[in-house]
Amino acid sequence: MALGPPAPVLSEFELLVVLAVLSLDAGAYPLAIADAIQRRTGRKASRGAVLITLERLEDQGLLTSFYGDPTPVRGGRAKRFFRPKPVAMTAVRESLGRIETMTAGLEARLKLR
Amino acid sequence: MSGPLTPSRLVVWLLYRITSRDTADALVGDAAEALHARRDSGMALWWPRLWINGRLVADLAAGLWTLTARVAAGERHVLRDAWRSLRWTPGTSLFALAILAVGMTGAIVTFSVVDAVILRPFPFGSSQDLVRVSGNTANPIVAAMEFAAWRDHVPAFDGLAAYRASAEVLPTASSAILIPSVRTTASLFAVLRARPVLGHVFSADDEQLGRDPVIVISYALWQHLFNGDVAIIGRRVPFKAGPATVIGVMPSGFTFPVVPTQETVQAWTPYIVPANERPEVANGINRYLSVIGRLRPGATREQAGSQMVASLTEVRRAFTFGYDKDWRPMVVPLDEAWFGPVRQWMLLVLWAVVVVMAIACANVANLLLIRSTARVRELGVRAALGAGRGQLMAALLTESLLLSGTAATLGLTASVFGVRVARAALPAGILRSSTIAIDLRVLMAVLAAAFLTGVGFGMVPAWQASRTDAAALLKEAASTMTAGRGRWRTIFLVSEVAFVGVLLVATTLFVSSFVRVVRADLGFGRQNLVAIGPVSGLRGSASDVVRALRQTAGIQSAAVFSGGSAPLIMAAFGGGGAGSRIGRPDRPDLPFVDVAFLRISRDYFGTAAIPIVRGRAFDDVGAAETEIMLDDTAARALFPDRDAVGATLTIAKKPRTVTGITASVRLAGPGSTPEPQVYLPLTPTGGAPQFLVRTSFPAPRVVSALTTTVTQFLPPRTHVDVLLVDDAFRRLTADRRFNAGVLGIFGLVAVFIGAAGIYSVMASVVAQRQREFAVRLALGATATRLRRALLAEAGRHVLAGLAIGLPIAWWISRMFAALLFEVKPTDASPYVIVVGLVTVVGLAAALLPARRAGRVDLLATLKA
Repeated sequence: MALGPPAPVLSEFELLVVLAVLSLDAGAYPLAIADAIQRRTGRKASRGAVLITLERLEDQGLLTSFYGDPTPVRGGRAKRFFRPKPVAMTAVRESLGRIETMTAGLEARLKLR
Repeated sequence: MSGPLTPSRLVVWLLYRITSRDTADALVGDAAEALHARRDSGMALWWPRLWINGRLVADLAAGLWTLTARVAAGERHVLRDAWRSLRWTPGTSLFALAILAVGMTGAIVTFSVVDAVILRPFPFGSSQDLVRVSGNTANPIVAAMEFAAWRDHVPAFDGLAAYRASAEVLPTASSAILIPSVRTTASLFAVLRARPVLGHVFSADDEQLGRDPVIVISYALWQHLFNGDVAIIGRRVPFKAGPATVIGVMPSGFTFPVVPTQETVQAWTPYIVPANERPEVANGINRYLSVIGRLRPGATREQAGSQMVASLTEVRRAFTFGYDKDWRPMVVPLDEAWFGPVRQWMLLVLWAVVVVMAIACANVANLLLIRSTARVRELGVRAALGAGRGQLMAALLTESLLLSGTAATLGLTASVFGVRVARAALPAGILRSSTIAIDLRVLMAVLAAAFLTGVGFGMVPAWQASRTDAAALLKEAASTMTAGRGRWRTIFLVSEVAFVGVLLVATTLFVSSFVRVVRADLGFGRQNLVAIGPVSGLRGSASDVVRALRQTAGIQSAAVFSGGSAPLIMAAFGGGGAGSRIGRPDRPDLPFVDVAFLRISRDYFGTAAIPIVRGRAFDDVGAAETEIMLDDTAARALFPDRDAVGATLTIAKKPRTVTGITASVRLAGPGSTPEPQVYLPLTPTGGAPQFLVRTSFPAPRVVSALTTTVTQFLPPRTHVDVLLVDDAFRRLTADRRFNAGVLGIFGLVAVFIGAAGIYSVMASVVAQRQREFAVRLALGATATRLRRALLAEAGRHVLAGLAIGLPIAWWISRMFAALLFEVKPTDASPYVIVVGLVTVVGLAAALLPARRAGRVDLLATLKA
């Protein structure tokens, strides 16, 4: 068991956001994250909602952000990229673990796989 | 189009304010990129600029949400600090709280009234398709034949219903209960999409002559009169006009019609077209029905109008008499027809309360500004200890929100009583006034108002306080105040005076309009006048009743009349009148004139105090069939070419000589145009007699004696209407009285708040400039000169405020010119009064601080 403060419990949408950040790797900025969630899950994610969640996750110490280089298509404005911190991995693992525990034995009824 | 679109500078500026510059830039960049992506994928955008700004506003909302969440999560101490800080200066805090609470109470009560009476939708299904149907006559009523033609031949209507006001009288052991009711076609319930909670509504079969009478009652009547007995359906209720079977109970809250100034109708009975009005036998157009309809989906009011004209061809051919050249059908949204007039003056009151709130906000903003000026040292210390500008602003804004939140809570508590007072003070019979209450909608509005006012008056002081850096703040603490703060203080004071000016102009206009209404010459004396009847089944003759009335204590004179109603009574309480069109056989070129008939005994004019301007009153005994009198309006309309006295008019095929002309009577009260009126001598067969009585002392004290006298002549347990003409006048002018009263109260509150504002600003100016005054005194200035200089400063602020406020008032007041009586918004007098009043009050408020300036303790101040 790792030492230190326990990782925060993630809500469903927070989980989706963190997973999107992880999958986008170096290209995780709000617009791309919202797109990724919508494309892969079909769930409509507004940029506003993504932004609120990203800032909250940053406040909770799960993510960190930095500014990239300006691009012409953005009117010469920089992107704000988000990166997961190690504790984010723990939080995701624990969240998925909780779901796995709760779905154990229900696979047939829920028609999982 | 290529290249990034530039979003609104305001939106970007706001984004910069609530988040860091880099984050804001990143957000704008995201929006620009998203726009490009949309274009690249071929998605068309009609308003790219609108789209990009919409995205950024959403970002702004998200940013605000994050900010709020951060404050709530991590900075609870902000609230505690705000509370401590408000307690530190209890005087200012309580004063600000009182001003805000008064304003909030007014706003909450006004909003609950306006919301309940006019903002809430009708209690009917899909009410946006409901329309009122009529001709373009002054009174929106139609004839049974016209209704039938429209019902059968206008496809634009999904349904059409006709109705007329009525009343059921239910005799009880001691007296009788009067139930306001409506006679209506069965189609009404379908048109309204209304279903009963119990039983069923009547059908077209019940509209035939000779059917058993049936009645549908309201939920309230069912509860109160029949104790909510489920067995009520099928029971025969012995009404005075004959028993009727209750067949249905409508749901709670249902009523029809929903006219704001009329009494709530409690029962609905079938309307049966009288035999002599059926198209095959009718010999004239008799209009008295109100008609509503439901437009078919997709049909417009214009379509309905043209189809209505077409459908009337038959009727118009048969009855050319009823139609002028410019007659055309009117289809008005029901909501507008019923609420239009009330909505106008209620919204005026709502605007007035918004202005009061603006005054209160400007005032509290100034108080907070003054307070923050006095707190520069504290703010400086906080800044020196590392508080950022955002934190200082948040701290001060929290104080404002705490203040406005507390004021809203206090206001809400006071409003519980205020709403009760408002319900009692509202003009009698305003529909739905019983439903006025503080409900969820009102609560939401209060919450929004509390937040808006909190931010409204807190923003500038917080902004100003957080502007300067720590060192400057600490340095400033020792001296006086910054230029920025002084400028804002002036802005607030001037705008406060401007708002006060706007409100006072409205108050003056409405109060003087109301005074003119009360003093208006109606053509008769309305005080101490009582109208009795009509009565049927008299034992004895009408003159016997008049004789008995004259012998009753407190009666000055009495007269009998029939065929119409006493002045104001019909307009205020409803009822019927007799009218006709008459013309001049000798001058066929002159247009026909619509006149109202009244059959009267000779002493009618004396009792009503209607002056006879020319000629003489007729002899009602000898000349009943040969003489006639006209009022001035009728005389002018019928005889534009000659003196009417001595002329002959043919009424009901009998020639009659005009014996005299009376003054014109405004039958519908002040503001109405006098209708041409014709007086005929009373005949024994002229209809149910009514009595007009003038009392020698206040009429309400004589009512019961009058009732007793008249009921002696009537069968037992008969209800008789004894109505005070003055009551009718009050009813007709109730909206004006209410407006004048409310604006009067608001005006007073505004003057007090305004005076308090000027006082507090001048007091703070004096307190902060003590050192300067001391130096000036030491250099030889006299106390009088200092005082005069301060008064001049206050005067300059007041005049600047008025210079801004009065043109705004002039501009706004033109919009409600229609609500004023014999007063024009462009009259100079209200403006002169307001300038005088505000200047006097303003200078008086500045006098006390100015005197204090002259009494500065020279040595103590300079030593300090």
